[in-house]
Amino acid sequence: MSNKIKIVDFSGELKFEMIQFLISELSQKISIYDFTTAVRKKILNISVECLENIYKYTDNELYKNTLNLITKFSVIKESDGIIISSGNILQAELMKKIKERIDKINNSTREQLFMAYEEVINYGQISQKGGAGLGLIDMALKSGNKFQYTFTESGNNFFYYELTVKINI
Amino acid sequence: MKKYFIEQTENIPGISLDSDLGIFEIKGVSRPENVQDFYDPILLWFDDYLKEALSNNAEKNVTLTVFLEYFNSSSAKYISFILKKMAEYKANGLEVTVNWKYEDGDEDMLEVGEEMQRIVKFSFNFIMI
Repeated sequence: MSNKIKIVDFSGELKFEMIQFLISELSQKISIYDFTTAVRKKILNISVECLENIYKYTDNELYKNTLNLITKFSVIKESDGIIISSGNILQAELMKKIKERIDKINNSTREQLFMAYEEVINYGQISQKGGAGLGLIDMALKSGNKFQYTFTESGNNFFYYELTVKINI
Repeated sequence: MKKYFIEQTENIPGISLDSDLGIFEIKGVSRPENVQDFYDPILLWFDDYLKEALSNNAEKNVTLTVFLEYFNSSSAKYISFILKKMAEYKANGLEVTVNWKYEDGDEDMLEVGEEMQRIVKFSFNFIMI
């Protein structure tokens, strides 16, 4: 018998207003569990970061033409953790950069992550999409676990990117 | 100079910058749709305040209180800019107090506050609520 409980499950085009709706829904649904304040905050904070990354970086032009590669976001409760997953379509030119960033983060100690955080705060630029380059570092610090990810190339110069973050409970 | 006030919503923090008393407050949630558009005027206000303070037209003893439930990673950059303004105020001879408030049990918010303290290189008061 599966111990998995689906708390939030979204798929479709993600607009800014939907992020708040999903976070409110998530906040309400996790309130029934006896999570500590720390765990509750991690779930919400990492979820917001995932959703905002989808919102900022999904290529909406590609999305309109590739309905089978739909944007997804889910929060699932397992016996020992909360699994937060997201999936969205991106331009191929971003794949190498994202992979390098995730691999570097996955191979960093907590102290190295803090150093990276500080470096981005002090020297990083704000991108055209409003990103500070801190999102993945922030999620890694909060979750304390390595990211799981896949890239699926889908022809026509884009790929489907799936990221999974686990929070221990 | 004019006070600066923004009402808190589910996406943007409440901002209260009192130029008469030198009391500044940022509270709530920070994930504005356009972070730069939200925070740039606030940074400009802090620049103007410093000029007024150095000209003896504003209070030189200032207190910044930050009490955020959550801020996204884009906001973190701007919050660090504001805290660096406070460091600039100190370097210019103003008396500066920074209160970093966090919810009881919110170890991540405490930790990021400590990291911000390290980045700006002066001590905050950490207050658990």
